[in-house]
Amino acid sequence: MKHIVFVLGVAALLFSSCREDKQVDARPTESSFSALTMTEDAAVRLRYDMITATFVLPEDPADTTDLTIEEKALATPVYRGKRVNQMVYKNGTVDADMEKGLEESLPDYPDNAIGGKRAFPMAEEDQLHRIEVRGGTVTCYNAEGEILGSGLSNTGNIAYLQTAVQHLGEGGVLEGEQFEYVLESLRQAGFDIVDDAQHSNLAKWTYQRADGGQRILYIDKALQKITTRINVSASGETETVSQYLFEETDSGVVPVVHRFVTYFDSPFSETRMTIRKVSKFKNFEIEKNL
Amino acid sequence: MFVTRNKQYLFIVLCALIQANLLSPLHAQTRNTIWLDGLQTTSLGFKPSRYYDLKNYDFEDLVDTEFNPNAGYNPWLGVEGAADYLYPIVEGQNNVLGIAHDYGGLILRDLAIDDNDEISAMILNGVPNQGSSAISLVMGDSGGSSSDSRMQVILDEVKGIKQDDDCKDCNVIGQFENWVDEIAHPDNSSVFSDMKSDNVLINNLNAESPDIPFAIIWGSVQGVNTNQSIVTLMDSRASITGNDTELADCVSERLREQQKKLDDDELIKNIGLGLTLFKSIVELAGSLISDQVFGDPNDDDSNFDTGGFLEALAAFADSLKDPIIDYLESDSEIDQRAASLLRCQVANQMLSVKWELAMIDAGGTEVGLVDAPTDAALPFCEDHCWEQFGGTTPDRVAWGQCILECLQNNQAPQISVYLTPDHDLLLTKQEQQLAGQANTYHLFNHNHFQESRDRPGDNTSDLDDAFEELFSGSVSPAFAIPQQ
Repeated sequence: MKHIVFVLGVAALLFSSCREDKQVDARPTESSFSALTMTEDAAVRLRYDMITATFVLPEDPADTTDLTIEEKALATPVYRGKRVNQMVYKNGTVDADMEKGLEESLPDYPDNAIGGKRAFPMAEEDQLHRIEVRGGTVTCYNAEGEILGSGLSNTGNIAYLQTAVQHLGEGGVLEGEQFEYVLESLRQAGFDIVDDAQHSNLAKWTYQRADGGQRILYIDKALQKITTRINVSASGETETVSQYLFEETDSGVVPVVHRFVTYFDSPFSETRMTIRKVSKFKNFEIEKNL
Repeated sequence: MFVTRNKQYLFIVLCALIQANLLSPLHAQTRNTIWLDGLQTTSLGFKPSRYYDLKNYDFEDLVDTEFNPNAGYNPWLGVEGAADYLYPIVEGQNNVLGIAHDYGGLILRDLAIDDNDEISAMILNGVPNQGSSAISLVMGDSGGSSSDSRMQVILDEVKGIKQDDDCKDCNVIGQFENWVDEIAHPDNSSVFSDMKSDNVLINNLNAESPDIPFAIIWGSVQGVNTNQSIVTLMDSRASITGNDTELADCVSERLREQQKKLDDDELIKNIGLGLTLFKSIVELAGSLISDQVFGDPNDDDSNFDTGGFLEALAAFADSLKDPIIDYLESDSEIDQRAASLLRCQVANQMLSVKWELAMIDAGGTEVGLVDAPTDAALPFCEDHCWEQFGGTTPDRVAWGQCILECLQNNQAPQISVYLTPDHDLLLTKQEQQLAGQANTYHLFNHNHFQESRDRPGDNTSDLDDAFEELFSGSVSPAFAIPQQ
């Protein structure tokens, strides 16, 4: 698991903030959204499209009738579409292209709609349209190809990522009760993993966080993936829910949907509300060269 | 002799008359005007010198508000008080054209009712002719034990959300709150009360249409490619020209950073989609089984050593305990960071939505339906399945299955949206209108503060175009101002 942590950590450091540094030099346009392709020195490539909608609903459906008109307006989803192509190389570097797009898949709200859009709209030339990560440098562009800002990677962590890449193996999914042995090994290592009371195909892993809260993971034994992650506060309130939904396809098990939910108390009706960020994956591809 | 002397007298008189006419400081064609700014809290006021010096119109500004805002004119006396205070300036004058923005327009209208026809025409620019619902919200009682207005209570709660999440918003909320507090301040409440919708003053002014020609100039911020919001409203309020973008630039950068963080974390989490859970443990288990180190678990005759197998796996898992804990903590932090950023975004949305709805009669809000492509159906499915499997103890497995089935139905959803009429971020179009106008002019992409000013660097603007047509007299001679 340390390799996963290092991948996460390095990627986070690589994708450092794009400081305001607007320049007028235009990046040459490309006919396709990403030029990144699998090479001999690459370990893994992920390519997918995402349509994401963010909106607000009450935690309890029964509270819908008590909503104020402001809260109902916040239920109008804010949509965003993007294309992603990301590479993890054997030498520990990460390249990625992320570009805003898929407008044909998004609704077209009227100009005078309340909600359904970001609160403080930006001028077109200030909007982040594309992110490129190359050789540890992150560059942000607007729709005209003008550079909005850039950031540098932390090269000191490349060694960790190299180690992480070494541990990415092809490895198949274990069958039947064999995966139970994996879970049992973790139990014997001291982790709290039990079968879910409601769904026998799920294992529930409860971890006590350093801050007194809990991290609860639901593991689908058939997919052998963590499908749901929940944060619970020290006082027992659910803080976040992150859930992936998968489908079996000819090319394997692929993600279809990601749901992310967090909570707040609305000042309008004093109702406990949820912020939903739901994403639909399309055209998901994974290539490995390990 | 008598005839010759009379001719001499007549010639002298004629010469005197001609000389007097040429030397008179008030040329016969010069138009009398009064330019009435709004309250400094809600108006940047006019720049009459632009139209005198740059556009060469020939007028006398009887109220020199540009250099001394209170010279004969003090809007802080309230509508009726200011009109009474102003009247001596116009008393006895002839053919005065009144040009007013914001609160100044209410004063002008009141003056035109009570004068002796000195005011002969009015140009009403961004005037709350029907009152202001937004001002009513700002000044309205919160209903609780606190003396704060409802808007102030909401601001406090939005601020609370942002503070809990350390939202960095360039102090937009703080600036907006300062503005709201100024309007709602007890010392100012009697003045701003005149602007409230459905108050006695507004009703009295509207009891009859003005009996002199008047033109309406109104502003709005909607439309394609506008980026106006309360951020730009606060920028304009703090700007000399109405067009500074210091706050908007700061907010844009913060929003980009927030979006960047959300995207970064999403990239990180989605890398994990390509990995099998605890691959190293799975791989070890797989290799132990395939190499039959402890026998073949699928062969009942091989006496598979379950205990030994588990012991080997457990020892390996134990060696990974610290990295696993690091992973669990980091993974948890990523989700908490995403939650915090989302709450910051929604807090901004709450304020923006609340303010937009404040400008209209919420009971009469128009609801529209927007057709969406099938790819945009996910919120519809989330909503549909949440009603069945949500609540405080949700069944997330059934919820997830429901969503997948819903998506497979490939429904193209319809999305309900609430629609707002055109507005300038303080007044709606309807609030700026007044029946019986000689002509109406629309200042596109102008917020309330920008209506009385021009774009920097431009020699012409929407406001210039409106004034040019009016001052030409083509709409009505009542608005005419000659060229120098």
